[in-house]
This record gives sequence, C-alpha cells and structure tokens, in this order.
Amino acid sequence: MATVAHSYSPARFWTVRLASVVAVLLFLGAIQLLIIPKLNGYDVRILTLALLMATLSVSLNIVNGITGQFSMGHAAFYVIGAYASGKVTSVMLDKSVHMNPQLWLLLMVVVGAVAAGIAGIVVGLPSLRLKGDYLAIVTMGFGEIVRIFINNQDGGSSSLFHLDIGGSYQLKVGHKITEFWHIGLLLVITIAISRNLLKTIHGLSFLSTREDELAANAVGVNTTMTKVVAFVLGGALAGAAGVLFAHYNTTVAPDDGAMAQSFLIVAMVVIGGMGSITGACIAGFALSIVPEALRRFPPIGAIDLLAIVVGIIAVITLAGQLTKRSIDQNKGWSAFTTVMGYLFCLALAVAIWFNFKSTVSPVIKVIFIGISLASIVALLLTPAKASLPRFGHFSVLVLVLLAIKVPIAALLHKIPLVENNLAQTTYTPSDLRWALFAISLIVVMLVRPQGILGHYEWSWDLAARLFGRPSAGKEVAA
Amino acid sequence: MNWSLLPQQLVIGIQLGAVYALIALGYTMVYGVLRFINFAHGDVYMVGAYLAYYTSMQWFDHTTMNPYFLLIAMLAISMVGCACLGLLVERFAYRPLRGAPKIAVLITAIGVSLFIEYGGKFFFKTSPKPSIAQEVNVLSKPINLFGIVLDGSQLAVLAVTVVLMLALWQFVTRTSTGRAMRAVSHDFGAAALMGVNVDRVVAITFVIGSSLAGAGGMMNATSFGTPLDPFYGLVPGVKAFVAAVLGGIGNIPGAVVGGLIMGVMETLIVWLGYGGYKDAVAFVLLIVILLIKPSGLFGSNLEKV
Repeated sequence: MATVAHSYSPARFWTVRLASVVAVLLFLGAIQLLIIPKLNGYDVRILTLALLMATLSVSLNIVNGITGQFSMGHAAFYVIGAYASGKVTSVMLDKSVHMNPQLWLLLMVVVGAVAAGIAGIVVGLPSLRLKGDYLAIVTMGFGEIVRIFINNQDGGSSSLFHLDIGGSYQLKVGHKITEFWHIGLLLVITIAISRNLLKTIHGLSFLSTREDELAANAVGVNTTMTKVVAFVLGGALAGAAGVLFAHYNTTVAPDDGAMAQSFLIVAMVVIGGMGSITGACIAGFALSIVPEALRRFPPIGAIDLLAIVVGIIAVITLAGQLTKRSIDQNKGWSAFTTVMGYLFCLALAVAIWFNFKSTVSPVIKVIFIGISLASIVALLLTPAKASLPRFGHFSVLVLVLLAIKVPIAALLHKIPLVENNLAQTTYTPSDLRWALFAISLIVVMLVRPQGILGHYEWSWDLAARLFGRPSAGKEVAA
Repeated sequence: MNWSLLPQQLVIGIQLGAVYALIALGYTMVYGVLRFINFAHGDVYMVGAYLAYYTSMQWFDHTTMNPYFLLIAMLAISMVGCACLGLLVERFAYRPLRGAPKIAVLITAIGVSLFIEYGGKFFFKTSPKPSIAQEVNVLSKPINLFGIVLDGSQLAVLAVTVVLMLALWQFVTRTSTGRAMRAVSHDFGAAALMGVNVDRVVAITFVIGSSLAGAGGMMNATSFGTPLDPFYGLVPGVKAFVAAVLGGIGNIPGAVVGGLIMGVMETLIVWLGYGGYKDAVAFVLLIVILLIKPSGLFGSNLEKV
C-alpha cells in the first residue's frame, strides 16, 4: 500500500470521510431505486445473498486473515444473530410495538450484534490457549454445539428453559424488512471497519499477533486482548449479517449455521487471500454468484465436466502465477503475455460454453478453439516461460479433452461402474458446486498457499503492477 | 432412566467405541508422524462403509454365500480400497505441501474432505442406502448372556477390532518399519538424517490408518442401522478425533481407550434421555479436554497446542 507523505490536516481528513459516506449512500440508493426494480425477484435474491456472504467473508477475515486465529465456526455467529433478533421480532413486533421498520431493524441489528459479540467472547476465550489445527476444530465444535442446541429448542421436553425457537424445523420471523441497500451498507461498514483497523495502531497489534505472537508479546502487545477483540468484532459483524438475513428471508433454520456454511465462508477467505479485505470481498461475492450461474447450465456429460474442472484448475493456476510473478516478484509479464492470457481464459470459457450448446454452428466452435490454441502458442513462445508450464499443460489438457470427447465417451461406455455408467449419465453442474469448491480450494493451496491476492489490498498501483508495469519504488505490502 | 437397560447399553457403547477407536487410530498415527489433523479421515471411513455395502449387496450374493466368508471379503475389500484411497490422498494432496505452512495443509485437508464427500455423489447415489445390518449376520440367533443380548455383528466387531489392534501393536513395536515410524514420529528431521525413508514411512502410515478406518466403516455399516450417505463419515470422524485427543494425540493405546470412552459416553447420554444432544457432548468434551489437559489422558506430547 502506497503511503503518501502529506501532512495530516483535520479538515482534509473529515472532508474525505464525509464525501465517502455521501458517495456510498448515493451509490447504494441509486442501485436500490434504479437497478433493483428492473431485475426479477430471483436475481435480486441471488445478489442480496451474495452481498451477505461477502459481508460474512470480510468479517471472518478480521479473525482468520488479519489476526491469524483460524476460526471455522463463523456461521454460528450468523445464526446466533439471526435467531436472537428473529425471536424478538416474532414476539414483540406483532403484539405491542409499532415502530418504524427501519428503526426496528437498526435496533435488531444492535441486539443481534451484541448477542453474537457475547458468543465471540465465549469462543475467543479458548483461543487464548489453542492454536492452529486445535483452534480450528474447537471453533468448528462451537458451531456444531450452537446448531445442535438450536435443533433441540422446540419448547418440548428436551429444550432447556422451555425455550421455543422452532427446534429443528425453523423460526418464523414473519416480517420482511431488510432491503438490498441495508446489506450493502453493512458490507461497506464491515469493509470500512477492517480497513480502518489496519490503519491504526490497534491494527498493527492484530497483524503482529498473526505474524509472531511471542515477538508481539515481547514488544508489549496484549495478544490475549487482541485475540478476544478480533473474535468479538468478527462475531458481532457476522451477527449483524444474520439479523439482516433473518429479516430478509423471514425464516431461519438451524442448518443456516451448518458446518458446510462455515467451511464455505472459510473457503472464501482462503481463496481470496488470507488477510486481504479486497480478496475476501471479491471471493465472497464470486463464490456465491458462480454456483448460481452454474444452475443455468444444462446437464452435461462426464467429459465436458472434466473439461470444466481442468479449466477451473487452469484459470486458478494462471491467476496464482500472475499475481505471484507480477506483484510478489515485482517482475510483470509483458503486456502482450498478460493480454493473451486473459484472452485465452475468455476463449476457453466461451469454447466450453458453446460446447454444451449443440445448436451453435461448428464454425464458431472452431474459431474459438483456434483462438485458444493461438493464445497458448503465444504464451509458450514468450520469454517468461519459467512460470507458465503448469498453466500451459492444464490448458492443453482441456482442449484435448474437448477434442477427443467422442472416442473417450465410447470407451467409457464399455467400463461398468458401481452405480451407473459414467459416460451415459449427465450431470447437473450446479449439483457439483461443492466438489468444484473443493477442487478450487486444493488447487489454490498447491499453487498459492497464501490465497490468490495474498495480503495485498486493492490500489491503482497494484493494478498497474498486475498488468505488467513494475512500479519504480519498492513498497511494503500491508 | 431405566436401570435394567444399562448393561445392554454398555455393550452397545463398547461396540460403538470399538469403531471410534479404529478411526481414532488413523488420526493419532497421522498426527504423530506429520503433526496435522487429517480432516479427510472420516470420509475414508465413509468410503469403507460403502465398499462393504457394495461387496455384500452387489458384488457378492449375500443370500447364498457363507456369512463368515462374506464378512471376511467385506473386511478385506473395505480395508484394501480405503488403503488405496489414503495413499492417493497422501500422494497428490499432502505430499506436495510437505513443509508448507500448517494452515495451508489444514485447508487442503478440508478441501480433500469436501471433495470426497461431494465427489462421492458421483459414484454413490445420494439417496440414503439401507443399512446392511440385517442382511449379514454370522449367528443365526443372538446369544443371551445374563439378559444381555449379543448378536453376531457385535461379536464380530469386537473380535475383529481386538485382532486388528493387536496386529497394529505388533507391527509398531516389533518390525523395523514400525520402529522407523516411531522414529519419524519422535523427530521428523532427525529420522530423515538417520537414513529413514520418510516419504515411505508417511505413505505406510496413511495406508495403515486408512485401512483401519475402512475396517471401522465396514463394521459400523454391518452392525448399526444408520443409513449410508456421502456424509456418513462426518460426525463419526469428528468424534473419533475427539477420542484421539482424549487419549492423548499421537498415542496409540490412548486412542483405543479414548474411543471406548467416547462410545460408552454417547450411549449413556442416549440412555439418560438426552439423545438430541449426543453429538454436542463430544464437542463439549473436546473443548473441556483442550482447556484443562491438552495432552490428553496418556499423552506426553510436548507439542504446544
């Protein structure tokens, strides 16, 4: 992050802040009033939930990425916030309180955030003694305990204090208050809190706890306090997201806090880059949208599916190599290579897409496959060969797979499998989104263990470096 | 609370505990050698259960075959299949990350676990399978011992578990490979310097751990009425991990004792009438152990947790 050396002036500081707030509100208002009414309800729901997942991902990044405490129970905070506020709304709002819905939602956000923040203290305390794998499994256990506890609270004999929050069925909140812009605002607030945290001396103590706890202690950082604060902050923000979810979806189920949900949030933070707010935000959004986009794919055969898998591996490899080379090593490929790389990704996507649509004329398919092949040749001929082979191999494999699809299918046809014949069956890509996630996760860890963006944050300088123009001065990344 | 049911519940608890112990052995051995939690271990166990199911239902004919031979075939196929799976996972997911940050290995393990679960939907139908408890039975009728009913599958589980554990103990303490394994577990780097082929030892550890998990999966599938699905291994896997931590992770007899404690405790909770909370109790136990005595009951592990 470039630190521009200008003297601090309160007037400038507050002007910038005020302008940002106004800009954000105007932007969200514009989306809410101009764009949302034009989309259909299903798309709006997908976008809204994607923003919610991005919020969860950024809030988990405070714990996992910035403070380095590996938490795998983040969805628990989310359901705690959702249930706490949902119960209050379902009991109070019908009977006695007649309040402006916006104000009520604000009140509920506070309730949910406080409830989840208290849970954050409960989880943060074990983190004082545990590290790494053990902390991960204890936080995962916390998530499961919360889920099982909620599962049993149906007001019956096995519930404690005769609490009735719907048990394993669901809690009916009954009031849809949350709009798109509420969640957008929460995301912006979460990003602002994380970003401002990193700019302060407290942020430094979080980072030092991540990098070396012993050294941080030695220079006087209260690492105990830091870790608990991180859990409380991350938990409270996730709780607020849960409140918005409860008042958007109007029902909450215990499985909203299932282990799979927590794993998904962890995957977002990890793929985006541990400690990168930008990465967590983009990955949170993308990993929510892509599975939904997969629903629009028709069912496909095994070989096409394999081609998609290898294509995903190729793209992740390219992204990892690209950031590693251009940013970490400050080298940059030539602009030509970079453009060809992206062109290839595009052509690959289009080739795969058209491959499903049998109605597309073979001429177009050939053109796109030709572009892909030409890009590969160009990539392989450029001087920066050293970091390319893996990507090249995977890409060639995709095209080979698509080319020899028919003979392979005939071959697979003859191999009897346990349940069904691989070649005969078609698969719905959206059913496989979790398997695709898993593959992406493994590949990211193999290619770039620190996540695609690493610790980097978005800046114009970074973009310039990404596109192959190494900056003059060497700067320290946040 | 029905006191007359207690002895029968204890027997079921020991049987369940034997399965947990078999899975816990894999966790504890891999942790001992590589110092990381193999999250995919529970899914290997799931694959073992499915292999046993296919053996008895599709590959062999369970109605006409000699039940003893069928049980042995199921056990062998589950163990060999899971050993191969464990070997593949180690070779392609974990070995490239040797020396990588611990968090990267942990996340890869989660990725492998998700991959086996959701990839399992390819090969295994998603709809739950019938349990195979009724179809495979060694004894024609259960033995009644002082009011405790023991059926054939329970006896088979206990016998096989004891045999496998004795074999494992002999292997670890008496053979040169077992000695190499203990050496690697004691000090990875020094063992490598002394000429131990570390990669080979790690691979063998995965093979043994995974085949034990496969045996556990086969036995759980034959003796408990849980329907099979690709997430069959998730909860037992976590409970077995708790058992390994309870006994002191890295400690082989500790894993067995921890598994038995977990199994008995679980059935006792159901017996007390809090069946809805039985999965939560394992996690509560885990948190309590890690906070009070992180080294477990028998652990002398100096590794900071």
